[in-house]
Amino acid sequence: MKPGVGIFGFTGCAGCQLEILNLEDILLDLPSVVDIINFRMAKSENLDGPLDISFVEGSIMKYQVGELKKIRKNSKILVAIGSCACYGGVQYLQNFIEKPWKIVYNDKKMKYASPDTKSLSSYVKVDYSLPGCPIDKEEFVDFLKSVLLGRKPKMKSYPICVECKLRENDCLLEKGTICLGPVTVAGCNSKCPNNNYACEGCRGPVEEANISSQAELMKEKGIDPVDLIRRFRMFTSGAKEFQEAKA
Amino acid sequence: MKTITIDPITRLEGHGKISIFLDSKGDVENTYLQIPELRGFERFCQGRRAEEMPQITSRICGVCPVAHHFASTKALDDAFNVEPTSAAKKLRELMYCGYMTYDHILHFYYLAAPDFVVGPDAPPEKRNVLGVIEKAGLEIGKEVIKHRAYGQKITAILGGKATHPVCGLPGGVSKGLSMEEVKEIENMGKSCVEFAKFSLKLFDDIVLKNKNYVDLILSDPYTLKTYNMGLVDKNNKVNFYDGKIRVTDQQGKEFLKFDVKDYYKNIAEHVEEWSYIKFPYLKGIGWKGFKDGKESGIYRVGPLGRLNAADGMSTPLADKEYKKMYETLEGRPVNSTLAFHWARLIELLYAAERTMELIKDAEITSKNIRNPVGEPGEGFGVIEAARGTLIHHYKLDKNGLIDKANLIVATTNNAGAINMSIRDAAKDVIKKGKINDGLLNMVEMAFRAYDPCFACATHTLPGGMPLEVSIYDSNKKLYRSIKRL
Repeated sequence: MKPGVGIFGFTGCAGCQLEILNLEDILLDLPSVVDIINFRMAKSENLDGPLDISFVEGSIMKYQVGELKKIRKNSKILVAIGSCACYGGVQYLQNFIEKPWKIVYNDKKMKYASPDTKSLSSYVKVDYSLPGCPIDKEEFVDFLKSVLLGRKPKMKSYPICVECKLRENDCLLEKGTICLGPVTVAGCNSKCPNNNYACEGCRGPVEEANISSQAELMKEKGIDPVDLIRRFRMFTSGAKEFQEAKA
Repeated sequence: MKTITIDPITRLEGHGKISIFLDSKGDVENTYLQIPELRGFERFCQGRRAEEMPQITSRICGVCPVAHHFASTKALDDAFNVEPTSAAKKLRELMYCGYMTYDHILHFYYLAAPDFVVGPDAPPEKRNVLGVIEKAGLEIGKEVIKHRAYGQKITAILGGKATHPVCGLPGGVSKGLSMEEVKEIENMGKSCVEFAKFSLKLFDDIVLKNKNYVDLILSDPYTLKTYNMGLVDKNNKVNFYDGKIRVTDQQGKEFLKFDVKDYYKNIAEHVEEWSYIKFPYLKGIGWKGFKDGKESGIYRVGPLGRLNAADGMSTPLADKEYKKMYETLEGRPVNSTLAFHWARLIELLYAAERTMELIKDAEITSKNIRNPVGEPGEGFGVIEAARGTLIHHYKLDKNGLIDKANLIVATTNNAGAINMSIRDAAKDVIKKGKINDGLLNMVEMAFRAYDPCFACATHTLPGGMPLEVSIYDSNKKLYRSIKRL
């Protein structure tokens, strides 16, 4: 029997689910190794379960908690995909702000409640996390292969800098830009620095990230501490380590 | 008259919800398209470094991140008083053509084609991309996937990644092109031109040669006589990346032509309490409710809006197809909502031809890709997203932080028209309380032609959109609810 897979989306931009559809050639082979039981974005007939693996994208708003719990109940393995599912995503920034709709709609009374958005693990047990904004397609495929072969998927325990150095990119940190490469978990093959763009930490903190030393280093380079905090609060402001960053 | 506020509006997220209200006779009185979620982008952008905006706003949408990325970058050029280098502009536009290619292929083949190729009355389980491949053949399916991937690859070569790219900087781009990359893009671009020609022929064979489809396209419930809007170049030809915003009237005559800096003099937004989406309209005409015609300020954007607002295409093959569409559908403007699909394919051809023009440009490998920025101020950026005109407007403080941000998103521009199209389609299928079984799909077809992106989540691929239709009787009591996931 092929393992049953579900791919779900909550609050986010749907980019991670799309990345799965963007697998192109591999996509056509997927049905020969897994049974896609539920993938609302890609097919019309979808079942609740049972599911061997669920990939869940997006952050969770309060009214979505029940739906998420149902998926958890029906799944052997639940995987959070993307920064929204892992850390609450860019919209987590909203949790730092009061009554956003007031400013938006000139106090006109709207029917809907205040948004409140959190990561999956705030509500259910998450077995694995594939972070990134969006997820890395290759990392997703590697992960799936491991699970299908019955191996325990290996999560990266080193920072982006390792990948970046291997590609012999010029160090953006040394040029004095706020690059979060040293504290961000690898797995994207340093896509942004490869394009001459500083790492924005979208994959979240690496194990034992030394945030304070990064802050020191940036200060030495003359970076405004407020800018540094701002950088930590971008796509993964829900990550505890980044949230607690002090400058 | 309502004036536009520079206060942040907010990008919407969530599934489409349509409420249909019946009168005492059981006929349709009104319909409401609601978007009940809010993510709050413009608000949490306040106080951010302006340079972060192309990254933050691209997260609004996983389907069209490139559009936000560059609308934002262009607003930054303006806000930092810097003109990008000529090579940088070309690199941006080249990357943009890659995005248009993959996005238009996605919409036509995955979302729209099931209705036309498989048929609007086919059972829902057949009305998806697999049904399309079944009918058109596996070889065609492979071509579709291949060329969508080409669009993505072109975007990724320049942007580092296709989804949420890192490329635009105020005054330029972060990276240039190598000779090998030029070769690679050229090969893909060539193939895309052929594929776009093939797609138009497919449309011709399957849709235009079928009288039933042509009748459907020209039928009343799918016709709206609104104003049209789109970016045009100096010759009034369609341009995705740059130009002036042009509005044409119901006769196809130029009604307005303005620089994005003047958008708030020309566009205002109407708020309805039942939806998070705002309804923009032409300020000079005014908000007259959900009505079409010369007296109502509602306008349409997107592929058909763009073609209607322009005098032609700047590339030869696409221009020929442009003329053919207007000859076939009895002159400009075309007011048939379903002609959005045809216009989209003409634009697919234009994107491919334009890719070839740009990649052959001697300047495309130039290393002069960025100009230094000036003092921070106010900035406006406009671009044609696949779904229509997209405007970013920022006010920066003296430290270069975002003081205020306002975004007018492509789908928002179409919100009024979409609401009307849904109403007209519903009126056609619901009579005396009798609900035709084809209701859901007929309503969906009206909705789908615009390629709405209320949320990327609503941007469902094959088959049904997550859509809930609730029908209420004259006492506002729920009469019937149909949900399709």
